[in-house]
Amino acid sequence: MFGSNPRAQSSTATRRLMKEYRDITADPLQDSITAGPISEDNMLEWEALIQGPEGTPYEGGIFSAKLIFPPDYPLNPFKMIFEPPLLHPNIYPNGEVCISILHAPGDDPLRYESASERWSPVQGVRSVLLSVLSMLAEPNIESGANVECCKLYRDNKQEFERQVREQVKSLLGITENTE
Amino acid sequence: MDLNHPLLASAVDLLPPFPSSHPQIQRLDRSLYCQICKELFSGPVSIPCGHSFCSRCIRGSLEVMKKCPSCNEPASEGSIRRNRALEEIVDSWEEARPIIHGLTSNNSRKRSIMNTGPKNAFAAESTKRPRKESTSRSVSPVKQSSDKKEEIDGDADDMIALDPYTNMAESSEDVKASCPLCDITMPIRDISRHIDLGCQPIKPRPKSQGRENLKADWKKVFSGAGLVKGKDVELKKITKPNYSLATPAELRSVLQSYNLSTFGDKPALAHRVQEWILLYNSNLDTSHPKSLGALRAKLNEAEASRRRDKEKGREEMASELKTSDGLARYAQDTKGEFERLRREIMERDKKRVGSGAEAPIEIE
Repeated sequence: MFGSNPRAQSSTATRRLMKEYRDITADPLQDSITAGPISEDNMLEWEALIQGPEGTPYEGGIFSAKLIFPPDYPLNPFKMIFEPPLLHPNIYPNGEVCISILHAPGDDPLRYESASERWSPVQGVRSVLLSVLSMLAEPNIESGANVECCKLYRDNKQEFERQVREQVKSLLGITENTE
Repeated sequence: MDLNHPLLASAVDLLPPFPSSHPQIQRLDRSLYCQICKELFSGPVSIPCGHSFCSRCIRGSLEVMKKCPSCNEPASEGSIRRNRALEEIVDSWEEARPIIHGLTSNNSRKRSIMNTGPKNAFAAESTKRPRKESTSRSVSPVKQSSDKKEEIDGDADDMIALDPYTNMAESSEDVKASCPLCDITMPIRDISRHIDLGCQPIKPRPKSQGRENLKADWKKVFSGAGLVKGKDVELKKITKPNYSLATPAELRSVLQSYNLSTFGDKPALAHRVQEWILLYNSNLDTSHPKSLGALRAKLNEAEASRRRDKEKGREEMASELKTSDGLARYAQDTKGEFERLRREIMERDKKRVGSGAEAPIEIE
């Protein structure tokens, strides 16, 4: 724990994140996404709020996620963790998003994803959040993170959608009874 | 956003964006930004696919992956070429930007901006990015392009030859105006110098000395006195060592030859060498290179900020451990590890006792 502290230059990352933050604030992504650093002391930790896309079981929900940036950002991608975890084939049970654009250039031994879909320093918070939005609308069960959820999605889509809707409701604090 | 915060202080010199009412200018502005650091190109270079980045940015990125970050075409450090045209464009845009920004952000003030041109240029001067500390520039936009060559040398003290303010407004020798900042009335030609000096009263310049001064200044130019700082920049790129094969001694000798600290273990040394080579090589890709001293300072600063991060983490940890909640959480988190270690020691001791060997520690 003591040794886990980043040992790379933080000022480059901080500068670039400042810039991204300002650009996102000046020109909001869409109405459905907001993002920004949690505290001004640490630019390497952001919080993002994502609105469930319309026409999907996630519609109506507002999901919060933590973005954790490495000290050598933007050379390496950041991590995105939904808090609380979201039921989705491409989200690990601990909430971490598994999406090719967030994978570092060198960690795909199976060559499953083409290089063009991977992280590169020209990507940023904005492009990743847009990808996550489309991921919510169209899960990719070929490279699932939550295997149980993948199976459910493939075999019984209706049940999957019901469970998601239930989760969305409980996240919003609405229970079945009050409806 | 509170821009007074120390963390954000480093970012206050971010250039102000253009208003969305001028999409064409926004596009022009955007096209001059490096896609990696998202700032105006500094020492722009091109790679074989035709994409351009700051020298420093692409060199750093190629160390992680040998591909163009934009289009994934293979690329290598050897194929990096300076993009001089782009550098010239960025330099001129950087000069023109505050003026155009002033025009776009408030059309109704157009007239007053024209009148207080030097004021705007002054504001721009203070928000400029660090690499521009080498300015001995005039504030008149017309003249700026001509004294480009002077940029290579150091501070304004080394300012060589012609005073940039002499031929500003020659025609209006006797016209007086008030300073836009402090409202003191003075001849127009003195205003910009007055502002540059922080609104100090301007002493009338002795006209007679002009010739001798010029002569002395030219002498300075020919003797290379104004170029002291640029002189120790050798024009050769450093070849990278093989970090996995290099011994700490070899890394230390590299560091020593550039007067850098040789403190630390091998990973620290390798990191320092790597960072230094990155800084050094990218410094050769620009027409206003920094002195080695400035590069050294930059390297030290980066290392210091890294150390600060580390210490900050430790402090946070320590203060967390002081609270009973934090302590409980820490105990919870490390319980497994503690149990494992405890078991290991128990087993080891048991083995010792079992094998009949004299246990060095007596267990009661």
